[in-house]
Amino acid sequence: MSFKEIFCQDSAIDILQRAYSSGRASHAYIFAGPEGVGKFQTASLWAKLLLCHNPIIENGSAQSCDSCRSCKLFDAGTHPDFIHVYKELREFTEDGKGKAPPVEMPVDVIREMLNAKVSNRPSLSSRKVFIVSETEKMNASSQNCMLKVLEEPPVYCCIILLCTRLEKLLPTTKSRSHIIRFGPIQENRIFEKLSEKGLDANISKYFARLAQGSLGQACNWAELEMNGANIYESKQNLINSLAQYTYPDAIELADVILSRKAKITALWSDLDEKTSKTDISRRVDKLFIQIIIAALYDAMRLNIIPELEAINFDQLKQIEKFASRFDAEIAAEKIADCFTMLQWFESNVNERLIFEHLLLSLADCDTIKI
Amino acid sequence: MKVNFNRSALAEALGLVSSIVPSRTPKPILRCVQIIADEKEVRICATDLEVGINYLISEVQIEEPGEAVVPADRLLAVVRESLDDVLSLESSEGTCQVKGADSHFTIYGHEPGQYPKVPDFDGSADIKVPLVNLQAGIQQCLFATAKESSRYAINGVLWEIKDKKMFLVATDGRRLARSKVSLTSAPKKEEGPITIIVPAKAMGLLDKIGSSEKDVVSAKPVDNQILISCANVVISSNLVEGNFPKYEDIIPTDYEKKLTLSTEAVHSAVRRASLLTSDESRSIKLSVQKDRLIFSGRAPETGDAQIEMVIDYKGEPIEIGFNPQFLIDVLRVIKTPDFEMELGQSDRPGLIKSGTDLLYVLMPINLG
Repeated sequence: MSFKEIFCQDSAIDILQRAYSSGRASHAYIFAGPEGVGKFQTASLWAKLLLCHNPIIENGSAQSCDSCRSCKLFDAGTHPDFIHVYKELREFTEDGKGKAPPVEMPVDVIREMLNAKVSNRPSLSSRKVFIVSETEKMNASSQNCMLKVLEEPPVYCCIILLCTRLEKLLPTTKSRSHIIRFGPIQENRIFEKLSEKGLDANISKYFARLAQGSLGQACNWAELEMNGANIYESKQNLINSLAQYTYPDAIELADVILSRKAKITALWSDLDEKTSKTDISRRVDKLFIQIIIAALYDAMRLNIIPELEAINFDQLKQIEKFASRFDAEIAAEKIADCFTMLQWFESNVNERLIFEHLLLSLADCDTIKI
Repeated sequence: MKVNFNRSALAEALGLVSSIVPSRTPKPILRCVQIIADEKEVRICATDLEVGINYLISEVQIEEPGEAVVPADRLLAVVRESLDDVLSLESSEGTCQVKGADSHFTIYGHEPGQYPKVPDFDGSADIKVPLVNLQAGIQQCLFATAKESSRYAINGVLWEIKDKKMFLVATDGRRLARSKVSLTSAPKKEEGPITIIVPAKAMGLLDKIGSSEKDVVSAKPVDNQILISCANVVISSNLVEGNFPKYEDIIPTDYEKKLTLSTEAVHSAVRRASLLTSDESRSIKLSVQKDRLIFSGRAPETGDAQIEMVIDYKGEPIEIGFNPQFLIDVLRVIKTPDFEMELGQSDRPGLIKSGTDLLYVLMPINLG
């Protein structure tokens, strides 16, 4: 893998390349951007480049050599100077044995996997690189614990924080790091990638649009779909129901969604044993909300610019029917509601209540209020 | 690779090497040991990416050179439980076969190329010191190192080498221990004094090596690492980054109140006085009076303790408070029957000396 294979993040990579060529790489970076757009990939390549013994420089862009001992150990995942910190590492901390994978980033992981390792000098390369994943899940104490290291790490250190929601980081964390933003990935790139995996063209097209630029999410769904999760079929059923359900059906529809959700969650947990069940369950919840948002989005656009192609291009009739309930403004309001629901999931609100509330409020739109 | 081992020699080697194999690690390959056989010798290596160990094993017969990476706990268990005198080990493409007279084990391992390199000791060393001296020095200072301090430098032990003397210094900000070790050979004077900071973990490992009287330790710093060789074991460790505090400045030199005390009697008195201290008032009071020393401990709502000791002291009386644990820590490692204590005022640090080798500075606690 090389920097060239990372799509649509030219500006981020350009900043890193310029820093490298001028020899002024920052001691701490925050890679901020939506989920699944290549933040970790870029960070790994950057780490590999910093650690490489004989980097290759061509046309002003540097690349790791892939053949020195450092690169080989990096690829094998045993490089002594590269440390990936993620919340599931808790099971390897002093008191973490036998505990379930956490939902937040525990302070123990930061203490033992980051702070304690910073002071040991590098042994193979001239630098030491830390990547901290999912920093938006760090609570205040975890972040405060990291501040001292982040402010003044030893000269050989480079710490990269990956973050999907910058507003969750403390101002003190942000001010100590160089923030690099990552944008969404073009839809056709995602479509190509999914088709390469051998996914049906229609499904690929739908996922590519639904993902809104998140290649990682789309790839996850594609993998699930190929393992028999039937996400696409669930989506079609859901849109069909949305088009015609009435107020009294809302609770029943929520039940249907939850039972589909349980099946997908179970399958996903089997495929990915490392991630905590709560995390996976939330991701599936979000997927369903995203499907509903996509339907609302289509409905909104249908009322304003009907010539634009819809996300649910395969169920236009149902969308038309669905759209007849609202005007564009109400649809926009409902989309805003959906985003509030996404935050409720993060705040541990009961998922059944969320879906019931959402479906009831959607069904409520065409009733006449006085 | 195909090698025949003497079983007990292999068991001994694996016992020491696997002591640094991490039991909890996100990288499964680190739970393995690496066995390297070349034309003449066989080495067993392990590392947790901070400290590495490289063991040259004796009594082997090499049929075919090569490398193997095998899970340490499995291999150790197999070797321990086997009954044969000779075990043959054969490896190919990530699997390892262990054969005895009546047994045959196949253990799945990893590709050898993926194991991090554990350095060997090449060339000669500048620093040489008898192992027993070094271990005595380590015991006298290791306990004072800071644990998880954000001032990285004091998480390790400072080695300060001047001429043929080496000072080992450790501190956690509230106390400081310095022990002196004499070297049998030291780096040339032109190169100037050497100061490096070695992580507490590597020092602990050095302390654990089983020693015979004659073993000599050779050590040399290379880039960011230190290599320490003793008999057939090579320990390598990353050095700690940072500047060690200028500790000489805090060692008081102007004290006039000097006491010579019996190690055992004071150890017992401090332990007894600390029985009646609480977590909130974790301090004991030392009142030095004419020909008398009184240790007292007090815990509100629990009670108080007082231990009196007759001493030979003619100077000014003084009262000073200390954390009893910090006193016990040092009294435990003093080897001489008597030690010296020097005091200034009650708000200045206390100084403890044992012979010329051990020096200990500890901060007082305000008796309020």
